[in-house]
Amino acid sequence: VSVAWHARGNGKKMRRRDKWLSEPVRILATMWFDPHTISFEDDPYPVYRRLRDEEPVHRYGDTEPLWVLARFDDVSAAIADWHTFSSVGSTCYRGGEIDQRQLITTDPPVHDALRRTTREHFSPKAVAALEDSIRAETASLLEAVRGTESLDVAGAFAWQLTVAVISGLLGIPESDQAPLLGWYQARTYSDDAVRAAEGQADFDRYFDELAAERLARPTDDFTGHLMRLVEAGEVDETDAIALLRDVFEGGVDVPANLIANAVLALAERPEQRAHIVQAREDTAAARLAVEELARFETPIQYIPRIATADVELHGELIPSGATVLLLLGSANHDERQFEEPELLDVTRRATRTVAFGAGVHFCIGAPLARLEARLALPELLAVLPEYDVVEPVRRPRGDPVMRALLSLEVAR
Amino acid sequence: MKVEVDRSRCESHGQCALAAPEIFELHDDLELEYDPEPSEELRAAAEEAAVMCPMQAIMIDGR
Repeated sequence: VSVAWHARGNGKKMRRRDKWLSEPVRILATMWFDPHTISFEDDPYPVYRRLRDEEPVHRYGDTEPLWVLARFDDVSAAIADWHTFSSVGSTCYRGGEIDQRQLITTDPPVHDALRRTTREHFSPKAVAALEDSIRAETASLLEAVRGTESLDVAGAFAWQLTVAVISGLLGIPESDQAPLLGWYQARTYSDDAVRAAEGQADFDRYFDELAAERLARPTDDFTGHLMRLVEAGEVDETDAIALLRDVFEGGVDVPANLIANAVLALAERPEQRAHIVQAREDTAAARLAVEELARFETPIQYIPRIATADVELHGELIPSGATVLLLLGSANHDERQFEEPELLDVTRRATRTVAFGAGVHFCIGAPLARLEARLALPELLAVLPEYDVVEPVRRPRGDPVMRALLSLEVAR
Repeated sequence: MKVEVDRSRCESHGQCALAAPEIFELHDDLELEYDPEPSEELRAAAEEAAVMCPMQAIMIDGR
C-alpha cells in the first residue's frame, strides 16, 4: 500500500460518470431558480418546498423520464416498499459499475447476504466499542488547533476525524489516509473531469491493492474479515472490494458532512450550541440533537429507486421501469410531518426522519455516523464558545446528492 | 396479535421503537424489550415496525 500510486496514471475502466443522476436534479433546480440570486447547492429548500406543494410527484424529462418524490409520507412509503421501489438497476447512482453487486444496487436476498458481512463491525453494539477511540481522536485534533484564531472545521476537523475512524475500522494505515481522502474528494466532488477521473482511478486502485494484500495476509479489521469470507467462497471478491469502497465512502463522507453542516447551522444559534455542549453529560439529549441536525441538513439528499410496477400517486402514473428519486432532504423538511421544518431546534424530538433511510436499506453506517457526531460535536463546540463563519461558504458543485462542505472556515 | 423478534437477526438499530414505541423499547445498553402480545389496535404500528426494521427481524402472527 503506497502513496506512489497517484503518479501511475489509470489503467482501469472508467466508471459511468456520464450517468450520474445529479444532472436532472441540477436542471430541475435551475428551471425554478433565479440564477442571479442563489444556487440550488447553496439552498435547495425553496425548490423542495415548491415540489412538495405543487408537484409532489414530479416528472422530469421526456425521453427517459425520471420521477421525483418530495413529500415525507411518499418518500418513507417508497423506501419501505423495496418490492415496488427496487434498488436493482439503479447502478447509475454515483458511478457504480454494472458488474458489481453493491448494497445500494441489490435487494434481498443478495443484499442481505452482503449486509450480513458488515454486522460484526458496523452494528450499533459493534460501533459502541469505538467510543474511546473516537473521543481520543477528537481530543487530539482539537489539541492541534488550540489557541489558533481560525479553524477549518470541515477540512481540518470533521473530515480528519471521520477518515481516521473509518480507516481504523478498515485497517488503512495512517500514512495512506491523507492521499486516500484526497483521491476520494477529487473523485466525488471535483468539477474538473480529468481530476475526478484520476481520483476515481487512484481510489479504485487503492482498494484493489488493499484487498489483495489482506487476501494474502488477513487481519482482524473489516477488510481482513471480508477477505476471509472471500477466501471461504462466501463472498465474491469483486463484490467485497465494491463494499469496501462503499463503506469508506459512506463512513468518511456522511459523518463529516453531518458535523460540518451542524457547525454552519449552529453559527447563529448560541443557545442551541450551549445546549449541545451541556449534552456532553446527557447522552439522550445529545442523541436527539444529532437526529435534528441530520434532519435539518440531511447528508445524502436523495436516493434512486426503480419502479417495478406502474404506481399511481397523487393523480400521476409512474410507469414500471422508471427511475424514481426519493428526495430525503425534502421529506425531512416536509411541513406535513415536522412543525416549522425550516427552524433548527436541537431539542425537537425529530426521531422519525428519513435521514438515514429506513427498512432493508437503512444506512449501515448510521450507528457510526450518529456516534461520531454525538461525541465530537459537543467537544468541538466547547472549544468554540463563540465563532463566526468566514464568508463565503462554498459548497462543491460536483454532485448535489451530498450536502457537502469540504471546508468551513470559522473565526473565534 | 403475536409479535416476535428474531434475536439472531436483530442489530438493535431501534427503528421499531420509533415506529411502534408502545410495543418496542430500546434500552441504553442496546437491549431490545418488547411486548410479545400487544393489543389488536396496535396492528398498524406493529406492521410499520416490521417493515422499517433494517434486518427484517420482526414477525407478526408468525409471518
